[in-house]
Amino acid sequence: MDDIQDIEKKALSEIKKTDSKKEINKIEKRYLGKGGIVSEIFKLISESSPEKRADMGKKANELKVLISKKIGEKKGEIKSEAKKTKEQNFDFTLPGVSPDFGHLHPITQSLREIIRIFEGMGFSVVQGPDVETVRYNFDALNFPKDHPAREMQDTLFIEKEDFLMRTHTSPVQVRFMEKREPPFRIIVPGRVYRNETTDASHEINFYQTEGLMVGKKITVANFKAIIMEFIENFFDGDIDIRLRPSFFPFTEPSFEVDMTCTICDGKGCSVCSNTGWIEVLGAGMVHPNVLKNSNVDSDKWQGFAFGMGIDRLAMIKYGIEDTRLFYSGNLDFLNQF
Amino acid sequence: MKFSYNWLNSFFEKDLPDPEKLSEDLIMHFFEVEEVEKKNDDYVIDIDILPNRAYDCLSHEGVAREISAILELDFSEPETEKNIKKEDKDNNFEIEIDRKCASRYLLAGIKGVEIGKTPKPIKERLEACGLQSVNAVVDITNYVMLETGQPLHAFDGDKIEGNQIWVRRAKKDESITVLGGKRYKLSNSVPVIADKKGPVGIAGIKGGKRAEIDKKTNFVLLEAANFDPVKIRKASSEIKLRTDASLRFEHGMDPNLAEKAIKRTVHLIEKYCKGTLTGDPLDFYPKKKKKKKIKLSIENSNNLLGVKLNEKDITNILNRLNLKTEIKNKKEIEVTVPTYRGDLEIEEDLIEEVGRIYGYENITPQNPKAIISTPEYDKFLYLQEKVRDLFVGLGFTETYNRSFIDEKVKEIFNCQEELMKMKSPVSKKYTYLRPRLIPGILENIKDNQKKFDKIKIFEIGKTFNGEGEEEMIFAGADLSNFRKMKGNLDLLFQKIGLKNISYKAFESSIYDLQAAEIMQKNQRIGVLGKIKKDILKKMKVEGDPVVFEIYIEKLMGKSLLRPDYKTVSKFPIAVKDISVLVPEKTNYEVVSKKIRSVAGSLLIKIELFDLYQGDKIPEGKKNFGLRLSFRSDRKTLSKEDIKKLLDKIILTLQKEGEWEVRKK
Repeated sequence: MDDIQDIEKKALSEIKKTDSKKEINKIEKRYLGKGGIVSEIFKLISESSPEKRADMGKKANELKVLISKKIGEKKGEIKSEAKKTKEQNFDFTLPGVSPDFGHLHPITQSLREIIRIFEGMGFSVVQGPDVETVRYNFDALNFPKDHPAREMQDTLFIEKEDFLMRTHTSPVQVRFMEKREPPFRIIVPGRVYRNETTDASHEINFYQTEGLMVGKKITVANFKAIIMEFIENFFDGDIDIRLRPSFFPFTEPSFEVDMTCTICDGKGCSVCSNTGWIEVLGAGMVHPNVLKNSNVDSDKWQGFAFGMGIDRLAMIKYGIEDTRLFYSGNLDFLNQF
Repeated sequence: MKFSYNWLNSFFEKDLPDPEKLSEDLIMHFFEVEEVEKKNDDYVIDIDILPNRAYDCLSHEGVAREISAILELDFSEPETEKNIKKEDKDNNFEIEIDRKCASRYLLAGIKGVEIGKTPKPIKERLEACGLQSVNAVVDITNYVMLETGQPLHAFDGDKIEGNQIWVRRAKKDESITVLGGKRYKLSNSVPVIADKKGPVGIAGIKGGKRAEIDKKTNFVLLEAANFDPVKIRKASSEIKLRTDASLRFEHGMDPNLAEKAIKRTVHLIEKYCKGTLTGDPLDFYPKKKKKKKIKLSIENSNNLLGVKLNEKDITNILNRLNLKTEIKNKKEIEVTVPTYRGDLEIEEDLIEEVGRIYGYENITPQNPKAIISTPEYDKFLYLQEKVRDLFVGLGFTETYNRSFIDEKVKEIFNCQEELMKMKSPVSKKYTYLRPRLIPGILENIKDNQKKFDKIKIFEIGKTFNGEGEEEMIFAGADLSNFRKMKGNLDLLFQKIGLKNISYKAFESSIYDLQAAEIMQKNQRIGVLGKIKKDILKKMKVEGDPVVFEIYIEKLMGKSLLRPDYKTVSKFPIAVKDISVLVPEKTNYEVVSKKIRSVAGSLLIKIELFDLYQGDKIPEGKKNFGLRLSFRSDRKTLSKEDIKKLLDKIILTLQKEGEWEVRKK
């Protein structure tokens, strides 16, 4: 039975040589399969003489066990090799699966920032109505009756007599002071309205934040400190500001505040009309008439007030080019925030 | 207003800094410069003169005066006709002035006028400022207006009927053809200049065609007046005619300026158009405006600005502005204000002058001294922010919509109630204040449906009723189904500790049958469901969104603003699944309530893990696959405990007759 030994030798060498799954399956089929070499041997044995049968049968059996063991081992090797290769070939550059996550409106995000910064300096958040009376929007804020100053802002009037959509958050100064005792430290975020045709820099409605600080000795110098703190914090940088004289009926003195253009770092660009400065807010020292109209003793108390456009701040911060996007519901826009 | 750099320069002996540098100084100490533009040999500087200084600075002289104060440069006023005191022999005109229409009225006659070419420098300066040349006399009056700020008008004296001029309110049915040929019907509230035949000019707004200056004019009647600002403003807006003159009158002006301006005009007409003054101008000036005195305390000034200026610094600044000062004592300065500074009325006005000339850039920032106190806690704002964060976490994107709807949307939504209507909005889109947020939300879906398969949006915003009352609403939508949206809301209610929530069927003109109102105890706090198909169609929405509206203001006082925490039990949970086969019309809530009523507090959760209707069960039936979780706070529940409970539950459910229960 040299045959069996030869077969064994051949089989083991074939098994040893291969490293493919396909090949080992072929080998298995060739040796152990139905009508395979091993079963041929058993067939031969069954046809041979009885005295030889026992010995040959034993040997053939041993052969079958050995081959099947070796094939099993080889299969294991091939499998773990394949697994290893698969691990090595892991493609970490495949795109991530997008989670179902929403987006907070950029104005909400800016508002939160503003509130965070001012609350840190002890300012409370106060709110007021969008539908205002002529009295709070103009009269109490020292706008002279029948004066062009009332036209500094395009007012959206309501058909109901003496009512309008507030043009600024300033009426809340009076509404708040009427009910409280000084000192005050508040900010008033909210929606305001202007009867203007909308374009890239004008909206029928937008957001403003009023600020008011009243005490015994609150000064222009204090205003500068507070507003610098805010601007540097909000825009996260070492940003310069400047105060320019201006006019608002409800403040005296009045000024406008510019900050270094963050787009060009003050070098001059299209955003800042080559001035290096961007106007960010209007402010001033509360006019004594406004304090009087709010039942606050103007001989004892004084302070500053300011109003700034949140949409504008958000546009500068994020580099948004068109203010109408805020109210467009455009998900290509909103999903970026 | 547009200013000529060369003109401004002509007020000074020394040359002004170049236009760019000058603009910088004006910006920091006066008003904003919008633009500097080179025009021929000149520069046009566009300065944004704000209403308080329109009183004196809609004029080159006014701005030159400011420049002289800012840069400490001497400036000289232009030449005027000084020798005006002479008896008027040739002019036999009389004037009758309604003192409610004009506080001052000056009328001068100039005879022997020859209307020639406008001198070149005058023409150039007018054009730099954007005015067209008409003829020498008219150009001179315009020139003096731009120079002094006083509007003037020249009539052809020979075209005036009779010898009397009235300033009065227009009579009923009077009308006038103005220069340029346009005709205006006048009402009783429009002041006019009239002769015996009728109006020859609309006071302070525009002159009439009838007494127009032409090439043949020989006798010029020159008017310089101070018309009532409110009357001019009302008249101008009534007849919808705004002019350079009306703009100036509306803001109010110094009546003493009229005299100065008429002398200057006479001087120029005599110089360039020949002609001689017939005599002293007629002057109606019943109440002379006097210089005001205002006290300024040095301490108050320093305390408001946050600086330490001394008496000398302050008086120096004020004197530069031509404000005379007198030291009353060490602490107080008495300031005499010229009549052309109508904006200076109180101490704070003077402090502003000190501040801006001193320069706000020179004020050192200083942290305020205030008591450390925590800001007030606005609970409603907190709730809104909580809601926003949760919904963003649930995959919703926040939108902001405009506060308005138009007539069409009002009709689509079948708004029965009155809405707040706007008076002449710039666009019809802004006709009404929005009564709810849904129209905006649907519009957002429509605008995005072509680009996105998944749309999950929400808005927190104000809505308005017909009285103008405001209510903050939280609304949203997505393109999933009722149960998913309900799950979102239930999670919200849990996170903000809002208990006793139930859903009820309701009727609505907007929502269809797959909708419910959300109740907290007995109060409706919102609605949830699908929108009627015809509304979706009219709004051009293609999908079938699930929409909700939560009356978030009503949650205040009901919501704990935090989850309602319960002690975590240390005993294990036992889970049992059952299936309940019920008639189609039986609501889940009926089944779950029944189970809860039997199981009591040991049943901590019922989960609907499967809902089946179809071939495998009898028609007209539905099958609930329920997972029941049991736990005790006191012990580990034994198998027998659970079995007893479960058997009791099943027994009770089966008593319903039509219900079939199987253990799994």
